[in-house]
Amino acid sequence: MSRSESAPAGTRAGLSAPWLRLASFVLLIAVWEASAVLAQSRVLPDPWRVALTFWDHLLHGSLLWDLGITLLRVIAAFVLAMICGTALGIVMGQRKQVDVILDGWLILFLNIPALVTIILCYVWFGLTEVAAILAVALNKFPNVVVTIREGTRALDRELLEVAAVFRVDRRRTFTQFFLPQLYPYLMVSARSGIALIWKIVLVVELLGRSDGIGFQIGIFFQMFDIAGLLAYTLAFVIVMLFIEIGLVEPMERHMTRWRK
Amino acid sequence: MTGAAALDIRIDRKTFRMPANGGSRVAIEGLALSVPAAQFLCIVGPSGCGKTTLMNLIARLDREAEGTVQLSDGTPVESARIAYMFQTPRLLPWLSVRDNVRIVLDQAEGAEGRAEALLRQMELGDSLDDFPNRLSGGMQRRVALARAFVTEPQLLLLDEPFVSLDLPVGNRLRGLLLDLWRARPTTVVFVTHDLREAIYLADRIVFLSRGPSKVILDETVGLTRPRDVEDPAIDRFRIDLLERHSSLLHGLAGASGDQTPGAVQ
Repeated sequence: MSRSESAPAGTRAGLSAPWLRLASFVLLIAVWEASAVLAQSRVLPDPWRVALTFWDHLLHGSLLWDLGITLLRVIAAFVLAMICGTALGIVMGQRKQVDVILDGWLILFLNIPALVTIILCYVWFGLTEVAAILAVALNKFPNVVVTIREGTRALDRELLEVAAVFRVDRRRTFTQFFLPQLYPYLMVSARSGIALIWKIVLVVELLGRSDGIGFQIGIFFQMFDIAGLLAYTLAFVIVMLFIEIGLVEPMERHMTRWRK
Repeated sequence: MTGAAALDIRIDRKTFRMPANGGSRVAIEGLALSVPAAQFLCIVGPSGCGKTTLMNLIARLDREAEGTVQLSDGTPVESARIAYMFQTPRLLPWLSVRDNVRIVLDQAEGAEGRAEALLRQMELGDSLDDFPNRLSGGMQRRVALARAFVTEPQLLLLDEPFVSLDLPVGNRLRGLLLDLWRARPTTVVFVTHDLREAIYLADRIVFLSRGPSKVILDETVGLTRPRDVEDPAIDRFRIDLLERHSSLLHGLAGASGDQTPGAVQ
């Protein structure tokens, strides 16, 4: 939606939206370069240094391995949170009693700081992979529940009546009449979920794992290696950008193609 | 199972709880109606008299009423194949026209071709892959009509399906409905508040009173088929009916020929 709004604005300025985006990105790099030159400090390396460090870690370091392992944790936690959160959200949206019983718990979980969940998971389940993924998923889970519950409450009963009267079987009633109505809510959940999860994954890795982007960033912090820190951060941001552009956006376009 | 279903409806009392004041409102009371197999029945009544409520009870979307809705042989109405065309088309916006019709068919039947053939017959062949949002209101109604007929229902319910369409589009759909019904005879219960429409379509018209609704007049339409929408006989029938029962359309039985005096309020 934002694209269709920004496109006419771009033509008014004489530049199309993609070029404007590129220009603003170049500006950001320029500001960074200027600040680095002015500061002349080891803690603010210029973009070129960071790019070289990135290249070095990519070829000779463990960047790819760390990236891969972090990505796997992101995916595992994301899938776990989405599936469990959607299931509970649907039940709470449909059954008033369950909603009343669990609503208080939900508010409680929504307000537990991520750090506390992470520490408790490590303390209770040990410094294991399972504990790490569980800690991340638990942080995302209540948000999914709230969003999907909202979507379930807004369901169009009239369409479900069509399924009932024509005796469409349960499986197709769910996949064709029920679930598509939740798509917008699932997309919102997924989008904000990816953004939230990858940030929490780094904290989880920092606190209790011996590989992954978060763990490496901890090392860079101890060694005051800011160039390495920024190189790793950039690598991960680029990967998440590709996931957004290459996976999330096409999926969303496919799901909403009927709206045009 | 083929053929049309004969229907026995007896609603002793249907009430709605009023959340506003905690009380309840009686929507239907003492309504009895039998529909023979393959009859085209129109139900006419003033707005808000409980016609949709009655239809939902027949379709078993609503099961909370004192009374029974069953087939004439005593089996529950659920044992018949039912199709229901609602006031709005109620198409699934995320499915193509073709899939909207196909979705109500059992996949095992291998009836892939049937949906498509019916849609082509209804001149929707060029829109099979379109999404409903791109269709006009009349075309959406046609898709909904195709969906209702594709299962070859034994009981077809239509709740003011052509309301809010302009006259030519509406008449075209009414003609299409009659064509389909003649080709695939089934028991039809058609709700409307448009008496002209009812006379054009029906074998028999049942008039309901204002809520709580009950039958105030049961009239057979003897016009020959096929009928022409423009046929003056339709208007003659209508005028004659209204002369005999002047406040019929307000949900009151007329002063003369009043069959159920109790309904006069």
